[in-house]
Formats: sequence, structure tokens, C-alpha cells
Amino acid sequence: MKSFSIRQYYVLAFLIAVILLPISRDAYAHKVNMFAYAEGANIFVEGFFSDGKTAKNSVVTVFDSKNTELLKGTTDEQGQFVFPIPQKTSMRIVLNAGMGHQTEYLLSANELTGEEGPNTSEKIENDTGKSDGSSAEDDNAPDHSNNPELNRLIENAVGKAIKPVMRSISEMREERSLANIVGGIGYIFGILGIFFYIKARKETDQSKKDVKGD
Amino acid sequence: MHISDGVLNAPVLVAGFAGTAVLAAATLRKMDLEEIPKVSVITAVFFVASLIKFPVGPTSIHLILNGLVGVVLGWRAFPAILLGLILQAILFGHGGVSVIGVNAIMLGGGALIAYMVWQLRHYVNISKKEIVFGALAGAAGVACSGIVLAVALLTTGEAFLGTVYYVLAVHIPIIIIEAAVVGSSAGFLNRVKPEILAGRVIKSPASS
Repeated sequence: MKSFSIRQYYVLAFLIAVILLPISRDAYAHKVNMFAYAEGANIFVEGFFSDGKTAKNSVVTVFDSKNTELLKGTTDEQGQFVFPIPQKTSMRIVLNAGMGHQTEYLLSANELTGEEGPNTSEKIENDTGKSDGSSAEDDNAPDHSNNPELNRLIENAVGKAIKPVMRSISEMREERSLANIVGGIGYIFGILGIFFYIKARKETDQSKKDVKGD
Repeated sequence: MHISDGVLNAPVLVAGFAGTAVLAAATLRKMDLEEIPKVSVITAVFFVASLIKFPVGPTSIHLILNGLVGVVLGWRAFPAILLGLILQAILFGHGGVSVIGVNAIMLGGGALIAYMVWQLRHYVNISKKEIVFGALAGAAGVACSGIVLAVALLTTGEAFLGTVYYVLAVHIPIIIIEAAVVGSSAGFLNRVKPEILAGRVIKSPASS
């Protein structure tokens, strides 16, 4: 065993890490992610793996806040599943991609827009009204909020526009950075270094006692 | 090849942690000081290896290398894999914190089986047996992990039976890849630094 110096091991580890890191840069860990949001009267769910592949044929189960199952479905070839809002409640959406890969997404009640949600649509309307307010045409804003057809169109348009943003946000949340990988290697050496230190102290204590015993 | 949070039910998770504690305590016994640097290097290799992926059908699988960990570390493979898995769960969300026990048994157990297969080389006298048994150990490590994964999924209900066949089928390519990687690694290490490989104690009498 003693033919190895510790430095040689560390150089070996460094070389291996340097060789492996570029390969793993765009092929990170394989974990299923999902996002869900309300689009008009429907809820849109999309599952994808951390390498960007969609999670097809995954079982989607929807629970309400009391953990009762509301509905169940399967994602299509694009990893998407759309279902009508079953009830106005906070929902827990679980996506199981098989092979032990599962993730969940919490959708709170105030994220649901639909026809029954005058509060949310008014809020959106107010926000746009404020930004338009600088052009001093406040009178038009109430007219818009009374137009359900326009509200629905705005919601759909915003929903569509926001889709890629939502996706990249949830991807970013899962991003495995180089710093994390290097940090993980650091943790391994650190933890085993502490272990080494404790063991080494114990052994020197033991040898001291042995010397005293003689 | 990590099970996520929320898939398995509580008794299986508890059993996983209990089994992991027993195995970790047993495999950590009488660890020598000189072994620790080797363990840390191989743990780092295992930790990084899981971040390389290959697409297979509708999903993708990554190199597991638990066979290589078993071949190089012997019984110390289990604590090494446990540490690697804890860090993967915390830093990358690989698997989940509640599933660390089951995942450790799945991958660490596979590594221990791989070590046992690796040790069988002492009873055979063929040329290049390090490569052959390294490959067998690499294959055995992944295959056993696949079986544990299938059994763990089975406990969640009969509906998973289809998944179980699928799990085993989807692991065939990774078994081949792992066999090739671990076999060539074992052959290479045996040529360059034979001391690094585990289980050199039992000498085959007829070996040159």
C-alpha cells in the first residue's frame, strides 16, 4: 500500500475530474422536472428530464389541498398534459416518469385564472392599467376589464408567451453548475480528510499509550 | 439510477436506512489510514461519473461505475457510495434525501456483489483474467442494482410490474457499457498499479 503517495492520488483525481467534466457539461444528472400553470380554464403540465428530453407517457396525478385525488392522466409525446381546472383549490400535481423518477409541483389557488377568477384578472388589468396610465388614458381600462373575451385572449397570449420563460426558470432551478461538481469533490475530500485526521489522532494516541506501557 | 422522493412508501424507506446503517457499520470496520486517500479518490470518481448520461429509449441513463468502486475498494465500496449519494442528493437532487438509504443499498449493494464476483478470479486460471472479471464485476454491479430497483418499485404495487421488466430491459445497454468500462479499467490498473485493486490477499496458487 505504501508505494502510493497521497499526492499521487490527488493528481489522479484531478486528472479524472478534468477529463470527465467537459463531457458531463451538457449531459447532467438525470432527474425529472416539471412545471404547471393555469391557462384560461385549463391547467397545462409539462414534464421533462434534466437533459431537456420530454417525459412522455408519464402518469400525472392531481391532488387537492386535502390530499384527495382529483384526476389522473398521462402525458403525450411532447411530455405535456392539459386538463380542465377541476375545482378552485390549491393543487399538488405529481408526475411519475417511471423507473423511480417522480417529481411534484404545487399550484396555489390564486394562480388559477379561469372564468371564476375575477380577482386575478382584475389584478392583471390593474397592472396593465398602471403602465398605460402614463399615457393618461385611464378611462379605457375599466372597459377592458368588462370584456371577458378580451381578458381570455390576454390570458392565452400571456400564457403562451410565458411558457418558455417558465420552462427556463424551472430548468435554471435544477441547473447543475460546475461549481457544484467541484464543490462536491471538495466535500468528499474534506469529509474523508476529517475522518483521516480523527483516525490518525486515535492511532498516535494509541502508540503513545503503548510506549508508556513499555 | 436513483429513486426519487415520494415514490416509495415509508416502511421501505425506513428499511433502506436501517439496512444502510448496518452495512455501513460492517463495511467501515478496521479501516486503515492508508486506505482513506484511495477511498476519497474513488468516491470522487463515482460522484462525477453519475453526471455523464446516455440516451436510451424514452429516458437516459448515466454511468454508474459501482462495479469499479467495488473492484477497487472492496468492502469499503459501500461507505464510499453512501457518501457519494448523500452529496448527489444534497447538491444535485439526484434521488432524494429520504431515499438515500434505499439508493445506497441499491448501488452500494451492487458494488459489494461486484467485489464478490471480482474475488472469484482467484479460482480461475486464464490469461487476462483481470479484464474478464473486471467486466463481469461491472456487469454484476449494475445488474444487482437493477434487481434491487425493480424489487423496490414492486413494493409500491402491482401496477409497477410492467415497469420492472422495463427497468431490467433498459439496463442491458448500461450493463454492457459498464462491463466494458470496468473491465478495461481493471485491466489497465492491473498493468500499471496492481496494488490499487482490491482483494489481492487470496493468491491463486497456479497464477504466474
